[in-house]
Amino acid sequence: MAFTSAVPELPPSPPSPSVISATGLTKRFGDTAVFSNVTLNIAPGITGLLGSNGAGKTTLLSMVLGVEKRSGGELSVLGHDPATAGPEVRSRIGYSPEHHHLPEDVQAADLVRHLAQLHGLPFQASTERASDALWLVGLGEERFRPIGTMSTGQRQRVKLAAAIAHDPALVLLDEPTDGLDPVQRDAMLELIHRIGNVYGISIVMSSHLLEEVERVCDSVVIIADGAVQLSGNLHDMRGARTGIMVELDAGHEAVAAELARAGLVVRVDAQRLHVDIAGPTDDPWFVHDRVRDAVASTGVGLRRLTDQTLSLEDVFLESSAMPEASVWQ
Amino acid sequence: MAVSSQIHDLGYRSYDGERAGAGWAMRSLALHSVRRALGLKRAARHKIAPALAILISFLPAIVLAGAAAFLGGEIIPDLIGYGEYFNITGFAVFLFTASVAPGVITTDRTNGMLAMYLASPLTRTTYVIARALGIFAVLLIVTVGPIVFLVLGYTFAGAGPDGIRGFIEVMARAIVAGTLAAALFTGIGVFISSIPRRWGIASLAIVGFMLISGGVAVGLTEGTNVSNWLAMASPGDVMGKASEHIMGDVSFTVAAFEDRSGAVVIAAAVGYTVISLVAAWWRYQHIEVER
Repeated sequence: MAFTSAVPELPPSPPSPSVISATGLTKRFGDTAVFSNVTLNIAPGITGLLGSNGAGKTTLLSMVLGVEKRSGGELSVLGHDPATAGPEVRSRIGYSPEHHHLPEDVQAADLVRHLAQLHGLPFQASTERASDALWLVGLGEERFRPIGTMSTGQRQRVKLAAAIAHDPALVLLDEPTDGLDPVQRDAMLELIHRIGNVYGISIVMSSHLLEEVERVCDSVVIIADGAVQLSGNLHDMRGARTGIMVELDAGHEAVAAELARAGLVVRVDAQRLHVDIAGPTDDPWFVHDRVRDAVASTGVGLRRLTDQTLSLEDVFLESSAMPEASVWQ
Repeated sequence: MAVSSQIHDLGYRSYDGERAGAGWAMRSLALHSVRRALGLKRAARHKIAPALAILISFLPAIVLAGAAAFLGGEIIPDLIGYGEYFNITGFAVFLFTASVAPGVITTDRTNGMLAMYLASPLTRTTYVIARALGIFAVLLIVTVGPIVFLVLGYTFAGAGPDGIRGFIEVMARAIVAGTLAAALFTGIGVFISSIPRRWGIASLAIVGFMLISGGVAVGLTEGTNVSNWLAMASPGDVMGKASEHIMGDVSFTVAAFEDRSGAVVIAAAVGYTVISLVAAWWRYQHIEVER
């Protein structure tokens, strides 16, 4: 086999709005089905892949990489089938595995450069970009340290640098905050947000924590029981159910009755009223104006009035009708 | 006066340059294997084993060439011919294989790099080929290097092959024999290293396999009624005898081999090479990767 340096060209692909799309995707290990007939579309941007441990997140990422064969269905990554164009697709993907095992006696810069070279970059470019990537993740000063001397947080950053050094079109991060303390976790999420938004690299980040996906992701795919329970744009999901929270000194029932008479849906929760935004008009200020009028007419003290959005957990619980205890925390 | 300035460090940015394919990835991994096996860019302790193995494999050639230079004539080449050289340094080659192959192959599974490699343009097949090529290249140092050195040494001492034609023929035979030995030990080293997860166990398994197979094959065939075909069960002895046949310099070593023709012995060495490399490839098609 000749060692060629020819630039691998992906065959022309039709323009696709999705970085990953699957139709009827099925994966079985023996008689056990990990996925059954899964259909999903992941748009450019940062996407959270949510699911409990063992839900199949890593298996899905492995199929996206083309290293795990699917049992059925169609899968397209960056417009191509990873099962048939695996090496070409993987050359444009960056991957950070869940495990923290890395060669102990290798310097971070050497590891990142080596992996950038494997993804097709020439020696000089891979050396420069390894350094740039390590500076970006905050390990510029530490880049010549052996990885064995690094903390879990630093190793997670090394893996992230290795995933982005070759300027991939798509980065797959498997549990990138695993093993991090709260401060390190915040820093890692900020870094992921920056890479996705400043450098325009699409990211699929697996996690079992709803809250961290909610913080950095544009979209979410929730998998459970071998199926996609929920997927879509986070803003759209939560925006569909936004409302207003009104906190009063007293007179909740009177204000609620006034708002109900104006055709609004109101829930009373102790000192608070939750007013549904879906009022009888398209005027975005209709609900706010009715609340103002109701509070003024009843003469009670208004402590607080804020926009209220549903959390991802609310959306998920509502969509799946799962008991709250089964949400992964 | 206008001050012109330039920012050279632009930080992380997009890359629009050349991107090579899977062939480049294989080349990079093969070269990485060579560096790792020789302990390059690693702590001094990683350089000790390869340096010792290389020294031991070259030492007889240095001594013999030196003796030929000082004593002159044909005395030394008559005592120890080219064909016997592998039998002298064979154990050093076993040890080098036991050091190199697990250090390159087994550690990829324990330090998580296998998952990273298989997420690159490499496949399971190209990964094994690239790693095997790297190990093969390193083993050539101890299989081809010393015998080539010996031929050159005898030649410069005036005790080498007759004429240019003879020199080229002996040199070609030495390269073929050394290449076959490197390929055989690469196959065995890669396959055995792909089974356990610990470097030390793989290393012991390689040495153990070579010694036990040799001991059993010779022990069962020497002075017994057991078929002397059983001697072929020892890849190390097969390679030693194949090396003699390739060099055209066969001496009496193991009685059981005396009934086998050169073609059969060389075919057996090639067979061991092919079988072990295919077994290593098969193993990697099924190996579980920690992600």
